Amino acid sequence: MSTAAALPVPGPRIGLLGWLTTTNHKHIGILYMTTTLGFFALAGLMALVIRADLTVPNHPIVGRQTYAELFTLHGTAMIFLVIAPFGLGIANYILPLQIGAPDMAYPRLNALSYWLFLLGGLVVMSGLLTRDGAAAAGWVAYAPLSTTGSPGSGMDLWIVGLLMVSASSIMTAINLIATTVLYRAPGMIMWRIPVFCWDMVVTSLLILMAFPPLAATLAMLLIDRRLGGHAFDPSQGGSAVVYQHLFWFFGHPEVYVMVLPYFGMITEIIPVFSRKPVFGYTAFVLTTLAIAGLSMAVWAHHMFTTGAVLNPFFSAMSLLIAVPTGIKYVNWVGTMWRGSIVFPTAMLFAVGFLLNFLIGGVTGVMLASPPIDFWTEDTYFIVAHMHYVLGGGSLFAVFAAVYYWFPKITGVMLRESWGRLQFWLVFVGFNATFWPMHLLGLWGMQRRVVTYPALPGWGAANLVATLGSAVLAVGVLVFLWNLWVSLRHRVPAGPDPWGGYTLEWATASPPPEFNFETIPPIRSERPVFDLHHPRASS
Amino acid sequence: MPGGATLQAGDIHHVWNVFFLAAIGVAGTVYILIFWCILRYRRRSNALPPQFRHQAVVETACAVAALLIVAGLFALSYAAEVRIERTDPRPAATVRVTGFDWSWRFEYAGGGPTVTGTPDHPPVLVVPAGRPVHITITSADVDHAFFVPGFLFKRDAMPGLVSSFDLVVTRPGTYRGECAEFCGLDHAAMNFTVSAVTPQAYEQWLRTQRTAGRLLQFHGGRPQSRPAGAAASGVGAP
Amino acid sequence: MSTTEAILLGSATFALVVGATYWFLSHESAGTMMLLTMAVGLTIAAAYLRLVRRRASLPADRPDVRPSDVREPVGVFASRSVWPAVLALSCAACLTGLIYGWWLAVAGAGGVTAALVGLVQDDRAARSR
Repeated sequence: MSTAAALPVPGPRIGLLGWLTTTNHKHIGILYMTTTLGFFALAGLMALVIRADLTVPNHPIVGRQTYAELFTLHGTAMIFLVIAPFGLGIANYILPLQIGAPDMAYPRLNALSYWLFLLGGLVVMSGLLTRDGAAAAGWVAYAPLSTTGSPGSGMDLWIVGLLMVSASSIMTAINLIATTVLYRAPGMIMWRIPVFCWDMVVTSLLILMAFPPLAATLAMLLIDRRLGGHAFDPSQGGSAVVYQHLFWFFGHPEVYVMVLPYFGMITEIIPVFSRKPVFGYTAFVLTTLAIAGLSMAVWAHHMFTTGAVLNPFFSAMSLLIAVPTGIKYVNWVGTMWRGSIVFPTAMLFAVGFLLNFLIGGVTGVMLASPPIDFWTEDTYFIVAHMHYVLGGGSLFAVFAAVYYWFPKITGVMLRESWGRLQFWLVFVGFNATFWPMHLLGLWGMQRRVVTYPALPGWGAANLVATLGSAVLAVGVLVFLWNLWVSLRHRVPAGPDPWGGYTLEWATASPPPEFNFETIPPIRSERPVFDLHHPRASS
Repeated sequence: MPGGATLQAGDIHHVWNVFFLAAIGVAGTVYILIFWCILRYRRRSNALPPQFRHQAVVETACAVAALLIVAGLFALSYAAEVRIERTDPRPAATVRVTGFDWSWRFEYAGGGPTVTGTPDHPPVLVVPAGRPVHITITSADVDHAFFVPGFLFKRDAMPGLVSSFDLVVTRPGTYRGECAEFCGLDHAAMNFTVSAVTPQAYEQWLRTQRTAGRLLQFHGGRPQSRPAGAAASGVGAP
Repeated sequence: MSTTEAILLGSATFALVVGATYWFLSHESAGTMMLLTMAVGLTIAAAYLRLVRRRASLPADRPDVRPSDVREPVGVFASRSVWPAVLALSCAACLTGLIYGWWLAVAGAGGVTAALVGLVQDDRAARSR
């Protein structure tokens, strides 16, 4: 098996015009990942200002309008411009490689997706430059606050930018599904594709089902705001409740769009560093499908406190979705069980994912109970839950994925020493920031408040959270430092630094333009492992 | 945790306790297993470990256990919700709560007073303790939410929708209330107080409101009007 | 039936069942509509795959074939093009033109047209090679 690149390698030195006109999935993947890093830095800075504002009671450091813009853009950016697109960016790079394809099915559509995403994100953020400021109705933009209650053009820019991002996501979803259906290598039947690819296919299906309702809802907001519509104006026969139904029909699958790719990445990393195959591959695929299906039927658990929805239906569905998620934990623990485990930084973050996401998962089960939700909805308990699954979960998986695939993408290794330091700073900082918020929520502190009174414990918990956020920020700085220093003083990675299982490790780092010189035979979900261990039976 | 000063809060707290124990049990077990793997299965040699892919018994047992736990939690939660949402056909008081940017209005039915607040002068909702109080709630503009942490309970106030629930406050006292749905600039200042008093004190408070024969209203900047001899608007003797 | 078709049809059935159950339990129209149209959308995708499928010719779906056995080219993949970036920029102009003025929307529409023409021409050039 030859891994030397016989074809010319279009590396980073393709020039500005090269980046502007590229249709290669690897370049587009790099573009996605670096752009999401930029939005992450921006949204992270906003979070630090929010935390600073809340450090002590009755002592806000920014005005009410600015604060509202900050939490709106922080949420919007992290959700639409960081966590979801990073998953799509990694998929862009890795999925064609893992299925043995030369590129994505529709390369120019792929490029269009990226540019729509970048420009859409910039349009959303450009609200900050307008006279009345950026959108300030929260990332959920409930009507009528987002219609009659938000007269400035910042809200319109938010809507329009997200319409572009929606189109971008839908196009990428189409591309990923088409690529997987059409361009798998010979012998790569669907039941042999890596779990990450399955998760991306299912994520893409979710995007196709969830984003069109969002686009429609955004269009209705725009029509209400600028074209004399009254869809969400009760005084004219519209309904604020229907806005929530429409939004959350998108909003709940969206959170699984932000989690399933990361389940997939973790399921690539844990088997390799445990030197075992995935435990329960079939169960993994079926539970992913179950989660996706159920996720379309739980949306109104975000509306339990309205008194306007059939709470028991959504409670039952939401509790049910815990079952396939729990089975995934059986799979992950089963993969490590009796394995031979090493802990490079990628594996540290993967284990961190398991520990943190579990906490977010069990608080999610609590929130599936309407009585508990009557107490905790719209409090910091929700903030804690969501950040444990999306921060402690997805963000940790982002770091795990970067440490795992950076050598493949760039050809050089990230430093392990800085990686370890980053892991501990991020792990401690993250938990210090968000764990106290469970208590704050139970004590009654509501969300989206610019300041709060000096009630017992509120000040102390907020202080700990702010200090935690500072530690977390230092951890992120260490990450940036690691990227810089590793690219500066390059340690070559070679084609397979980890003893990987899947096809991306069967080619050079970085891969040549059309990915493979030759592809090894595919007899299981671990073709490269099978190549190196012909006598190991399953 | 706040104990919860209503009948409904008792139900909510009970559900919380069960879910919390289940969470500790499940998460604790998984944590122990993960730490076991991390410590016990560290790589010690280059030999390939056993490459098993399935263990049907374990997988099935865990799936069944998870389903049973979830079914039990649903049954408990559903029963509690039915009790929480029960309303009494003859409440001791009926109050229409309206959220607006950025305070609250409480209109007592049956010719009772109207109490309107501002962010600087939060309104007080006087209710009789130990008796069912029927609340109907709506909004005059954007979404708000009526949240009393001490009752472990909130309900959204939405324009075009009238929602209702009962409160039975078991412990007389004053309870902080806040708005729990982001509604714009003064969302954080949209507070109120619930003052639960003995039924006798409540009747007396109602009488003073009626005797005064005036709507007690706070308008920003204007001094409040008080009936002679009565306490400030809305606050009865505890 | 291929795996993908099975997934699509299975999901469509699930959406139909949940949608019907939800309607009979709640009579809430927004959610019901969304679940039923989800079922319709998935069915359309499954039907398309079924009608247009080239299953028999896909070596990827044959478990015993090896990549080295297959000699035909995999497909035609588009090379560099400036039109995606131009199209995205024009869309941005078009949409923000809804906010800032018709002049911007018209300019954007012009860019969209040019980009679409360019993309089609790229495609024709690639196919003729």
